[in-house]
Formats: sequence, C-alpha cells, structure tokens
Amino acid sequence: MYIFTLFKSFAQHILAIFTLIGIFLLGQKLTIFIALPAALLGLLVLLILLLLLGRVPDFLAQTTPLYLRFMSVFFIPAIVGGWLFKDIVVANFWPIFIAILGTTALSLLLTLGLAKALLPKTDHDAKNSERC
Amino acid sequence: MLAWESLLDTLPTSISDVALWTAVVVLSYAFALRVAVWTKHNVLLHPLLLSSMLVLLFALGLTTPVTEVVEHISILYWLLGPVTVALALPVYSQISVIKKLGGRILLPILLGGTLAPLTAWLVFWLSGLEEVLQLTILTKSITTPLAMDTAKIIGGIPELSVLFLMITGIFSAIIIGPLLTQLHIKDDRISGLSLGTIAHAIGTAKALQISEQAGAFATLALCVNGIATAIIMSAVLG
Repeated sequence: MYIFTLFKSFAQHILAIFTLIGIFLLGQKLTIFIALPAALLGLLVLLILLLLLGRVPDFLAQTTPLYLRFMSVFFIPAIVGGWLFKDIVVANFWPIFIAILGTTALSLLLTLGLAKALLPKTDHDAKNSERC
Repeated sequence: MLAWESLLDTLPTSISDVALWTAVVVLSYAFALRVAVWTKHNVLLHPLLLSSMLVLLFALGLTTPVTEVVEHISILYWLLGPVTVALALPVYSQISVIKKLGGRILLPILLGGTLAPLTAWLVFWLSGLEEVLQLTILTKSITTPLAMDTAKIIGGIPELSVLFLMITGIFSAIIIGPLLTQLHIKDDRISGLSLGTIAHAIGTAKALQISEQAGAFATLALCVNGIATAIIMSAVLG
C-alpha cells in the first residue's frame, strides 16, 4: 500500500508541474496582448480557473504547498547576479540606504495606522497560512 | 560586462555545469535553512542571504566568474515563473475574507503598498540617481517573483530589485516589534496585514512567527499588494 501512495504522490507532482508550466507558458503567450508579467498572467488564469471550478483539485492542493514553501530557492540566481551590480550599489550607497530604510519605516507606520483605524474590532477569519 | 544588463535570461551552454551549479545552489539553500532553524530564524542570517553568500564563495573557490555561474543557474530563475503561478491557490483560499472585509482591508493594503514605492522613488529622484535605479526601486514592496518580472517590464533590473526587496523585508522585520509596542497594537491582524503589504515574503515569515492569524493576514496583504502594484506599474510604465 505504501508503494501505491508513493506512486500516487509522484503522479500528482508530475501532473501539477506540467499544469503549472503549461499555464505559465500560456501566460507568456498572453503577454503579446496584455503587458503584464507572464507569471502574473498565469497566476490570474489559474485563479479564474479555480473560481470557475469552485474548489481546488486534489493534485494541486496536495503538491503546491511544498513548492510555495521552498519557493525562495528560485530567487537565488537573481541574488547571486546582484553581486555583478555591487559597484552601482556602493557608488549610490547613501541614497539607496536612506530611501529604503526611511520610506519603509514611514509606510509601515502608515499601514499600521490605517489598518488599526479601519479593521473591525474582532474577527476570526483567514486561518490559512500558506505563503504567497 | 555591461553594467546595466541582466544575465538571468541567458541560456546555459553545458549540461554538466548546469547540474553542478544547480546542486551547489540547492545544497547551500538546504544548509542555510538548517542554520535558520539553529539560530531561531534570526533575520540577519536570512536563508537567502546566507545561501547566496555560499554560492558566491563556491564561485570564488572554484574560480568560476560570477557571470558564468548566473548563466549556469538561470534554469532555476526560469522555474520561478511556474511556481509563481501556484500563488493562485493561497489567493483563492483568501477570497472569502477579502469579500467579507472589502474596503476595510483593501484600503490599507493599497494605500500602504503605493506609498512605500512612491516615497522611495521620490528619494531616488531627488538624489538624482539613474533612471534605471529609479524604476527598479518602484518594485520594492512587491512579492519577489512578481517584482523581478515587473522590474523587467518597466525597465528596471531584476537583480537589483531583489536586493532592494531583501533590505526592505529584513529592515521591516527588525523594526516591527518596537513599532507595535510604541503604537500599542496588540491585534495580530493589523501587524500581519502591514508586514505583508510592506515587507512581502520576509514580512510574512515574520508575521508567521507572531501568530498564525498574523501570517494569514500577511499572506492576504502580500497577494493583494503584489498583484495590484504589479498591474499598476506595468500599465503605467510598461
């Protein structure tokens, strides 16, 4: 029985990976008509499909939390590539430093204040904690 | 190399180099995740910072130019696209909350999410920085995968976009504690929502440490802000 579960899980992953790549490629085609990031278009396509379907298919529900959990491994090429821009960053260190730190503190403060003013007092929604 | 050129879209040449460097990335990442657990998720030892440092050290040790390393691991960059599509699932699971709270939840996310990049852009503009940097900083609060793509579309640099994002996220995670104390905020929904809006995935990870509810609101804010800002930026500047 363990073999069967293993096989099922393997098949689900293959199906999920091909579905996600397929929708992403569709998103790339759509960029010809809509000037948005291909991945964002793919995301919206999948969201619309899920809304039409009214539920999350099992093969996606079982597999995607794993991909999302370790998603950040795919950021590494860009960070490593960032090393090649170190001269530009060093040359403009202070404006970059002040802009990012100062405005981050400011906008965090504003968002906290707005959320405090606007959110209804008690609410127990949003149990889900998958990362986006 | 040319200073303003992104190498992430170049095609790899040799399959063994691709295999070797992909393995280096994955192993460094796995090790960095272990270190994060050992150090109780200290933000300064963020797994992404540590693993990227390790990859750079390997490049130095094996005397492979960083430009080549980036080419060898560009397959991982490509795969980020399909994984980003999977973000539709958490968005889908949050739709009922968005419907229920409506403007009360969308307004702080959208205002905060617009203010963050615009003020940062203003500082860059006033400092007279190059236009390519000005455009890149606009993506600083978008979730990383969408930010890189958006940077490319509006004429910024994906690599720098990630760097700015990381600094934003880590700094937010450091100051959120004192800010909450100062403002007497004990509602986890507020802290979660703000962290997700301003500090994307790093903020969401921090929110998850506060509580599950904070994490859920951070996820929601991150999705809404990421999608909205990416659409606005691409539409206005694309």
